Amino acid sequence: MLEMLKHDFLRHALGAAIIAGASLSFVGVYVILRRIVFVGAALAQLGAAGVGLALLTGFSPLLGGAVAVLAGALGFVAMPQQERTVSRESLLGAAYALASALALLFVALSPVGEAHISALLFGDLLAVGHGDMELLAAACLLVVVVHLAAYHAFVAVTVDPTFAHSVGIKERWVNLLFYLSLGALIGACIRAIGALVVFAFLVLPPIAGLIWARNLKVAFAVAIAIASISAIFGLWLSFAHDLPAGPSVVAVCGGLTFLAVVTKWLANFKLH
Amino acid sequence: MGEIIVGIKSVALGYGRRVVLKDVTMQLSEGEFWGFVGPNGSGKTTLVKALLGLVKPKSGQIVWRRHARIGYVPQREALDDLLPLTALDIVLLGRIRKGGFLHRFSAEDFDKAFEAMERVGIADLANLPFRELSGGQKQRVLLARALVTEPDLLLLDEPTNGLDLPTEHAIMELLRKIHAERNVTIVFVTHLLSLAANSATHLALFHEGRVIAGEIGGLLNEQKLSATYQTPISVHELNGYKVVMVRDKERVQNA
Repeated sequence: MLEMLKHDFLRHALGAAIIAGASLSFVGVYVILRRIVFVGAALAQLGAAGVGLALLTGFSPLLGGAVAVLAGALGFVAMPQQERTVSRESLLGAAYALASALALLFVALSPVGEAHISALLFGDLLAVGHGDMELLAAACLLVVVVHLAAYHAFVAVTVDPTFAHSVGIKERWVNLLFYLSLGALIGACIRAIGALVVFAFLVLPPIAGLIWARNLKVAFAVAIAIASISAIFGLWLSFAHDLPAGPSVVAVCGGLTFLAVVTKWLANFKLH
Repeated sequence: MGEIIVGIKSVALGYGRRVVLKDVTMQLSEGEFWGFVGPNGSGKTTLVKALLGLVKPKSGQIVWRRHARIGYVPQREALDDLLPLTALDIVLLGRIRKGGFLHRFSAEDFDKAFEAMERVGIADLANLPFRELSGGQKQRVLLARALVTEPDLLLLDEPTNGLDLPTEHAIMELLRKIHAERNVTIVFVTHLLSLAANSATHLALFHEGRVIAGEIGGLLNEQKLSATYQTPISVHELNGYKVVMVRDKERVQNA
């Protein structure tokens, strides 16, 4: 494992994976609690489409991904709350399918071609440079600081929006801030770790955290720990066995989450 | 009569083009215990949402006394069982100030939360996960959360739905005790007239898009109820407990 840290590019990859994983899994706890997993998936694919469009048009992929995700987050907030003929879930499904197709089409049409398609899905962790990592760290830190400052507002609106409103919390503004922070985080991470890894970090570690924790702070801690361990062992697996980095990280993350679910199930089984 | 907390003047409420309630006029004053009674879909929740400011009147006005505070108690199913929060965590949400930004709970917040939990008889459950509590215990936690806001008006949306009889009775006893001790105005939403009839000082009967509101003495009689629901209704007293029934040739149904 220490052998891996001798290489600059692997140290950067490890730093980026830990920073992105920890931040995404922290915010992902709310994604699971609010039952908006599909929003995470759709935003991640919109980010991929933004990166694809940027590659096609010669703009910065980081900027392309961030703009697309933020626009998607704003669009989601603007969706009508009252579902009449078409549910929000259906609209998200449509956005997901369209964004996925556009991402692949943009990359296929771009001068860099189909070689980038894998990077779009699983990111390009090994290509993360020093400046990229600092930018990613700054964006993640900003999102985490916003979440810590608005912790009680986010919890109250997640738990019971009507009650939150009754104690003077502006639900609409809190939701806007939440979705913008989610969008900003996904936008910042998408170029480095790709759509599928972003989505995996948003969902898998929080599931493990929420299954094991008896209070919210422990759920955050467990989710962050699992994401960080997945980043470390996933990259080591990739380095030691010459495997692609993104899928290795997701595989470890999935394995740990599965282990958490099974051990919890066994613990409950013993109790009863 | 106490000071008016909220006045509802010729209000029409609804969603989009659909009008759910029209021409609602009533006022809720200090120390009153209101029963909002009507079947599902009669507009009770719409009026509750309007009182919370979540639904804007299509016409008319809802005027609140300045700085009036509402303690809202939803049905316990409103909270997701996924939430890994303790009973104390839930109650503390009632102490959030400044819109929830940069708020840190003080020692006073914790004292108030424990005091409210003690008042509703769940102080010993403070550190248990909310999702592991029974239906009645969960409802008490939500009541404590509302009380900790130090409300002028306690708004309870069908808090006894789905509870067994002893638990329903215990919750109603608790509400009567809180009303008597704190003189807080209570709005209790239910579809069971008999339940409201034994605690409320005032009734609001929701029927076919209208609300007939007034003191219980003026509304809880056979002529008025029969005229409101356009069906023969009788009011009985059994061991001091009021029972409202639809008169039927073969059987009686609980109204």
